[in-house]
Amino acid sequence: MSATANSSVDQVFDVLGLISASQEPIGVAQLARTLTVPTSTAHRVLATLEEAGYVTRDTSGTKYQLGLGAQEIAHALLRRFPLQAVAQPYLHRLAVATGETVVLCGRVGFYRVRLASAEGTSDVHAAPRLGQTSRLGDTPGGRAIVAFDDELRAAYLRWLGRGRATAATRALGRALDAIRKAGCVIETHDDGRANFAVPLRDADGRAIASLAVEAAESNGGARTQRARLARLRESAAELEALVRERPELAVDPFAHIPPEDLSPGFEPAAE
Amino acid sequence: MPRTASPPRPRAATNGVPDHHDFGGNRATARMLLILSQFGHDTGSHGVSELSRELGMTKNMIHRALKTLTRNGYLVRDESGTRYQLGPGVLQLGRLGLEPLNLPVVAAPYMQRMQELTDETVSLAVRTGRTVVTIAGLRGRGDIARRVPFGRFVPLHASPASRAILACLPDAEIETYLADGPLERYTATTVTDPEAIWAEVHQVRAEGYARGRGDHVRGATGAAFPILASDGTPHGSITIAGPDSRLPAERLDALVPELLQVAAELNRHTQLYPAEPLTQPTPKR
Repeated sequence: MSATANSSVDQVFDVLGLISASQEPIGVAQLARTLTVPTSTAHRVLATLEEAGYVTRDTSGTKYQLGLGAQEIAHALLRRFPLQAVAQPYLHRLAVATGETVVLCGRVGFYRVRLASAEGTSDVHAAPRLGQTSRLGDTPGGRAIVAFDDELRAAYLRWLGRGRATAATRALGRALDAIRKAGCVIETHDDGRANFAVPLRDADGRAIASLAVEAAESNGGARTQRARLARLRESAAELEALVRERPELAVDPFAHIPPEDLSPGFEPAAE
Repeated sequence: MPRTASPPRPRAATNGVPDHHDFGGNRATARMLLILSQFGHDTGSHGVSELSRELGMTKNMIHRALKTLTRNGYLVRDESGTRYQLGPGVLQLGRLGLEPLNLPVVAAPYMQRMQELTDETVSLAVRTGRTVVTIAGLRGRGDIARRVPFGRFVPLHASPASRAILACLPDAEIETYLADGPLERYTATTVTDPEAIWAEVHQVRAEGYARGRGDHVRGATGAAFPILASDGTPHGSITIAGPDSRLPAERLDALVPELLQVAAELNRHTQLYPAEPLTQPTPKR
């Protein structure tokens, strides 16, 4: 196999990556320009991707977006987390009880992934999307995982500081200490909105996932927030009891690979 | 017809790599994408021999494709070290987040295809407790057509749209439904006997669709197809219905295979998603 053939096969990932990252459907000319390849090449790659169901055209018929085939694969990755399959009723009940959107977060290496969610019942609520990735330290859901796994925490901080303690890693370390002490993540924004997250821990006390409430509104005062946090903890305790009963639910599909080797291949923006 | 949710192509059969491209690299790319798609169908790991057998490609082709997919992070070796599983590169595909399921939007192009195939009224229903309710529909094209029964609540046993949903519920839930009653009668042909309803349930499970016989609305008949969630429980059902005179048994029989095919394509889409909260029984505290 010549190097040319290889690069032609690899082009498909460049195109797929670009379409995945684009908020809007994207046209052939723009694609060719961004990747600095001839338009004919972009056409050819898109035709192959379309044939295989990975991309589909938008209503105009000239621009491309992710197709069902690609979505199927993204969903299949989420389904590799056994917790995803059983959590839905718990998330739903929590969303009804709090009125806010509830998210189950899992971990791939040093990244937090939204595995499942239940939409809040308030008229205005957060609308997080499944499959989104961010670095563990960048979101409440991620911090609730990394704060409750000592080995992971040490590795994450080393990775973040490229082996050195920096101002950023020290600050995050302090934040994680506080989370560990409080048993949860509580973030109150200036506008009164509050996000909460609690870890889901296995029998050994290690965080395997987290539950996060993403509040869209500043509805309710400190009292409502305490009540919400209590509900969140209650649901987490129920899921933890389930995991103790069925340890196979806690399986990390990537446990056999060091986290530093599990790069998603792009740098997610902080949320 | 909106192309955003354009129906997927039927799944490629063995060695289903399209042959009509002139580019050598393109064939290899198509093969590689087909191999990656295998990993989207289930959550397991796959080995070289197995993929070679299933896809009708040589082990050498599979090896090369797996190498490229691994280099790009889309696959990683599993714990055994010899088989492969989806890798972190796949997270790229969900980078902007996966669309939540919007059933009426996803179902719209398939409903349109069913209407084109039959010229009859097509409607979409979801469950609400002991009843189902129609939330979307397209009217048939004939001078006489079944009205789209928007907003109408029909008990789970009393119409094809209902029974397509009922049949996909877990047995225990069906038992509870039948035991709690009442099982209302609407026409002379409404089945209200629990045993007869069970027989209908088994028939729907065996045939993949529910048949109507004027059991909710006299003079109207049709067939209803379950729309399933990732765990096999129902999101809802899609029904084609029309006047008895235009839908005799033999016409319906002739239409069913193609309608089942359309329903299967829609299900490929909806089975990516867990059941909607509305239809999800809350676990007991």
